[in-house]
Amino acid sequence: MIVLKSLTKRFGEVTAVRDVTLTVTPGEFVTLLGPSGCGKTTTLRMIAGFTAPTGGRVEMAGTDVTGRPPHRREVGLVFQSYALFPHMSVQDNVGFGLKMRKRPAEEVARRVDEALGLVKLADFADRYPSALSGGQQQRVALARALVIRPQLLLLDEPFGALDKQLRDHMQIELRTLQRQLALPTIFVTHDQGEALSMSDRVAIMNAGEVVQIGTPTELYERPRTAFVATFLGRSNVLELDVIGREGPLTVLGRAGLRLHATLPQSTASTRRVMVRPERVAMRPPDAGAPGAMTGTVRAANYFGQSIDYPIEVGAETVEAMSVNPGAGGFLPEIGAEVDLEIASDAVWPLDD
Amino acid sequence: MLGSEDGSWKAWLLLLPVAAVYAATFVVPLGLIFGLSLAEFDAGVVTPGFDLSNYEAALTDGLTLPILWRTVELAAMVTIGAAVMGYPVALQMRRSGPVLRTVILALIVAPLLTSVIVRNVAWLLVLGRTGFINETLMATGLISRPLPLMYNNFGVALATLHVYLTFAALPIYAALVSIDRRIEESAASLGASPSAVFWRVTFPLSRSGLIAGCSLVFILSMGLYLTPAIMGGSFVVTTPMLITDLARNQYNWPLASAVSVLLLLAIGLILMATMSLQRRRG
Ligand SMILES: Nc1ncnc2c1ncn2[C@@H]1O[C@H](COP(=O)(O)OP(=O)(O)OP(=O)(O)O)[C@@H](O)[C@H]1O
Ligand SMILES: [Mg+2]
Repeated sequence: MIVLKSLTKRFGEVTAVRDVTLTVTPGEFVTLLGPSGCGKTTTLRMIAGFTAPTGGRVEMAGTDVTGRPPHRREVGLVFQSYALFPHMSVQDNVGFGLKMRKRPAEEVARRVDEALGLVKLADFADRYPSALSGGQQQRVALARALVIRPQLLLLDEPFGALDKQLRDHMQIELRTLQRQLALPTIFVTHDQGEALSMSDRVAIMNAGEVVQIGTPTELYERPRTAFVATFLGRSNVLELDVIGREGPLTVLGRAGLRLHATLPQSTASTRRVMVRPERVAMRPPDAGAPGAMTGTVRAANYFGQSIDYPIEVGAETVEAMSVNPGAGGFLPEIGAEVDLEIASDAVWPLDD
Repeated sequence: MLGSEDGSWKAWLLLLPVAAVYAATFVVPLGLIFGLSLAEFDAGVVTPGFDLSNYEAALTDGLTLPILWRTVELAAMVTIGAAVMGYPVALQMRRSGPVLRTVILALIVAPLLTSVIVRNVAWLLVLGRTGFINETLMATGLISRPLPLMYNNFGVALATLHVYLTFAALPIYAALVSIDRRIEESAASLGASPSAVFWRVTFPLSRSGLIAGCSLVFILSMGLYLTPAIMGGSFVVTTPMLITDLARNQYNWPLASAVSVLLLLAIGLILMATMSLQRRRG
């Protein structure tokens, strides 16, 4: 089990990481997700031992390792730039950690073979890194980190330099391997899709702080703040007036917009809520469904599998997303009037 | 090959001025020296010809070869000194912040900005029989007779090292800063102690800079003339000094040329041997 307790790092005036507390349970895959400069790399460097924290602690298997130098931490590290040893062959790269541990030569050879098999590079043992593609280099870097059987695997945007297809492929391979080895992993990315699809839990960081930790579902469905709501996936963040109550539901609205939501009792006169675009349903205006509102389609952004429609309702613009229905489905024209329907369980209140 | 890459002949065009200057100041004189080395010399008269007697004379006179050997020895001393002292300087420059780095750079470049005569006279004041070091040691009673710090290879090598350190340190520094720190960090995370990181990663990856620096210092040191003349008295004679003497005092240009060709050959052979040894190991 890896525990970060109130980890903090200041560089002069700048606080790069503030009070980060996080636990990685055995076999868990945790992702740090956040915009550029939010302190993800600095956090990893403190865990690996390259940067001394200004405050807080790093514990591994119940031991405080905060002051321990990197070479005695048993942490596997993979960088976006691969950082292979250019003067060593693939097998020497992978065997490096075992040689540092003074393992006997036949054990080194056997485990290197195993690790190269794991990343499907058995035929490349004698090549030099300069003769490998980016994806192959990244797999060598992964094998090199895995072969020492680290207590923790740290990956800093490992797939950032790969093209989309290879990245998708490597994501699946990494996740399969990580499950197979039950290796606790902290993965850094600023690609939200990657974070959602791979992680057991995601920690969203902003300006040095972890703003919310949860499973991908929790974060996507129940973000606490507008920052999380907009950073993870697309969302409509709406500032609305509390108009009244209808049974268990609170009625919110502003100009032509009317929403029903399940909200905790509060005396606030305005609320901030989030609605995901795919939960905004559009119908032809004559449908006359109860609780519907009418808006004007301002644009249609075509993405292939889906189409985004910014729709003007009163003074607000609501983003609606339709899965491409194919020929015969409802696809409103730009400038057309549509009825919008937003179910009450699609309206999520934000804390800020 | 020529012209196979788009517009490559234009690149040759760009090199034309420098090629002209080199031809006039380097290739032509070199050709002349080579021609002269094959000429005949008798009682002050040079007769063009094709004859190896100058080489024979140089190799058998019992003077040229020992001096050449001494020159190689001196150059090797300077080169090893520059490598051993320049490497840590380069390492420190890489580790330092911009301010300290600039200070170090200024310090190692400063000797180059000083006139060679001034520099050597300053060394005389430090290393001489009644120089600063000997006076101090005598005064404190640590020694009873002045140490022979000058008029030998040591004095010459030290005064030379002082200037040539830069030529070793800067290429090493350039090689060191081009190493991605994450490569070294990966090594550390894989269990390599700081010294293992240095010897297995940093040092091998900076070897090209070390070789470049050493070659530069070695070639420069094989051409030493003024410093041994001042710091060595008449006790350290280098091949360039011999060549000058042959040409200017004895007017024996053919023999001077033959010795020059031998010096060039020695430099070329030693560099090639070092490189091939290096390649076999690397
Ligand atoms: N050595 C340093 N000295 C001073 N400031 C630093 C140093 N390293 C990082 N910082 C600052 O700390 C903050 C966090 O940097 P960090 O590299 O951790 O961001 P990141 O989340 O990894 O960003 P990215 O997604 O761009 O890689 C940034 O503002 C950065 O400028
Ligand atoms: Mg980063």
